[in-house]
Amino acid sequence: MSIAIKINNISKSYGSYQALNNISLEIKDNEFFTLLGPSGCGKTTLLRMIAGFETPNAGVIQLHGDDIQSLAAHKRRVNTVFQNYALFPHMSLEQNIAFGLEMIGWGKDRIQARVDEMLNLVHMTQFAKRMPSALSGGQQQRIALARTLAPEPKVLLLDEPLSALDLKLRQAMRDELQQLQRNTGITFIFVTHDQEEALAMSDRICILANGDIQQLSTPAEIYENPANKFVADFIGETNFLNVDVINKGKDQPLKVKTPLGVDLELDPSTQAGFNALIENQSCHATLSLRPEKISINSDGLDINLEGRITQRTYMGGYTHYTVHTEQGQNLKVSKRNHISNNISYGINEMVKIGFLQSSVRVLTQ
Amino acid sequence: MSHSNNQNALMRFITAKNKDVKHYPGFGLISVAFFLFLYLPILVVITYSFNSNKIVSVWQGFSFKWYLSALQNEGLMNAVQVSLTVATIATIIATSVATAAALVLSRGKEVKHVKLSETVINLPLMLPEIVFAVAILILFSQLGLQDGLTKLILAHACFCIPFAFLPIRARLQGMTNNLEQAAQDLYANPWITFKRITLPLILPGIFAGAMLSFVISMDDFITSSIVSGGGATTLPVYIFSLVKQGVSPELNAISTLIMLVSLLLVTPAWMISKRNK
Repeated sequence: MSIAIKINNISKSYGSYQALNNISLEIKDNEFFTLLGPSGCGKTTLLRMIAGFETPNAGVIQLHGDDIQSLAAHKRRVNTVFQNYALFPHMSLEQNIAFGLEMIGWGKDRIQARVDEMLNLVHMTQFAKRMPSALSGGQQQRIALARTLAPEPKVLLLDEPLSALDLKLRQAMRDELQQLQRNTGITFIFVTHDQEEALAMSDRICILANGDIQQLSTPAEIYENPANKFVADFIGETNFLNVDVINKGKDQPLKVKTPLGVDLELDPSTQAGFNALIENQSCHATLSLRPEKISINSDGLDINLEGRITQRTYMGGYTHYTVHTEQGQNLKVSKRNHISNNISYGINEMVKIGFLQSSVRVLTQ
Repeated sequence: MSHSNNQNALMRFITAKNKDVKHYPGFGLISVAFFLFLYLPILVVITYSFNSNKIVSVWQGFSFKWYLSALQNEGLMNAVQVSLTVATIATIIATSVATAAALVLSRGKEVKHVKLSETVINLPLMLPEIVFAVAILILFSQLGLQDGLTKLILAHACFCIPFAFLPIRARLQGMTNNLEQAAQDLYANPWITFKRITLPLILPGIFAGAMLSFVISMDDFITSSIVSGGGATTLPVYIFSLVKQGVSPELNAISTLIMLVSLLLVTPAWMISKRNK
């Protein structure tokens, strides 16, 4: 598969603030690629550099093998969906969609055909003559998408396009975006601070924080096997425990001493944070264990503990418990409320909890 | 006790259904008095412009003769022509300069001293006009500028710039530069972006700025009277010279005509701005 966008050693600073710190990554053709991170992590800066609205202090950006960092924004075959849509308020929806096509010099009939096609694609045909101000947020979003997709860009950039919509609409638009990406085959680069959005839609996710790439991988890999403590904390919920590393080294099992009264022996190939652990001098590390990886009163698990339930939060599909173990640790446990097995446990109830060693991730502090 | 009761009643009166100021007692009466105060003198001027008597304040009978004599007065017609010429050219210059300045200050990349530049542009608004007039008079004499019309146009263009600048700048600030970026993102070069996106969107601001400049220029007296000479007199300066010779009924006719022209100018402007909202 060929590379759509190649980012090579890009740095950007504003005064003393380092927005991007020597970033390199590759985005493949036809990929739904997400830049995820907290606000101020540099994800929007990176997107705007690809679009041509920011210039890097150093580094190279390539689009299908050609350097583009010296090209002005209007000469790059990439289009952006802006956070607040940026529809031209003095033009009808048709005119909005036709704008980019006029600029690349298409003929009238061809433009009309493409505009109709795009309106149809986003289910807005009956609104063609309306002005943007007459539309709801979700409808404006669709037109913004149609406008940017119409000139058949090589890459579509989406700058938090769903953040202004309400929850229900946001969820519906997620499915639509994913569908649209598959149908058009255009590379999508999606910027968001919403981890759920990222997990739901992306082929691959790049997590940025403080101007550095924290991890770049598939959604499942990022959730199941975070590379560091930041990623484990940022994506989903987890239990963190301080552990001591007893043994580490290349081609050796990773042994840690936990405050749960048990020592764990882990396969390094299951640990995305293993290299960082080896490089780290300290023998202290952090253990991450997702709440749904711990089960209550089940058999057949490697590690079994006892504890008392101190908190219980009913969430509909799930119930979240906090279990205070005999060793004095608090563990968050999440239990799915099955149809057949809707046992619930009360506060102060003594329970057995257990998990598999293979569910444990050890990360640098 | 009764005092606080009264207060409560008052509060209820104010906060309940009478929130709207229109429902306050005496509102109608005060409004009528206010508008009479504002417009009665103007009504008197209009009425007496049709008075056939040579003595301004004594009504004799209906007549158009002062309009005729005003329109036949060569000095007056000259002044009208000078004023319109000066106002038109000064407005075009001031609006162009103000638009360019507003664009640079709100859209330019890496522009330094934005606040300072704005203050300098707006300074004529805060300066007493007499200071400005004397300064520009000295400048013109230093430059050896002789032609009266040129002097008036330059001076008017100068003090009209901040009046044109303010509405254009406000319009640009109210418009996110996302729109221009979106146009560039859709392959529009900077010139087309300006022509198709920026200009149409700030046009109401430019129009408002131009109207304001025109009115300010037409109305100006201090600068015009100090700078004039060299064969060009504006309408306000000419009218003032007429007043010095005693109030003629012709003045009423001229004033009424000016009001009519202003109305004809302002009405379409108002209608356009209303439609744009």
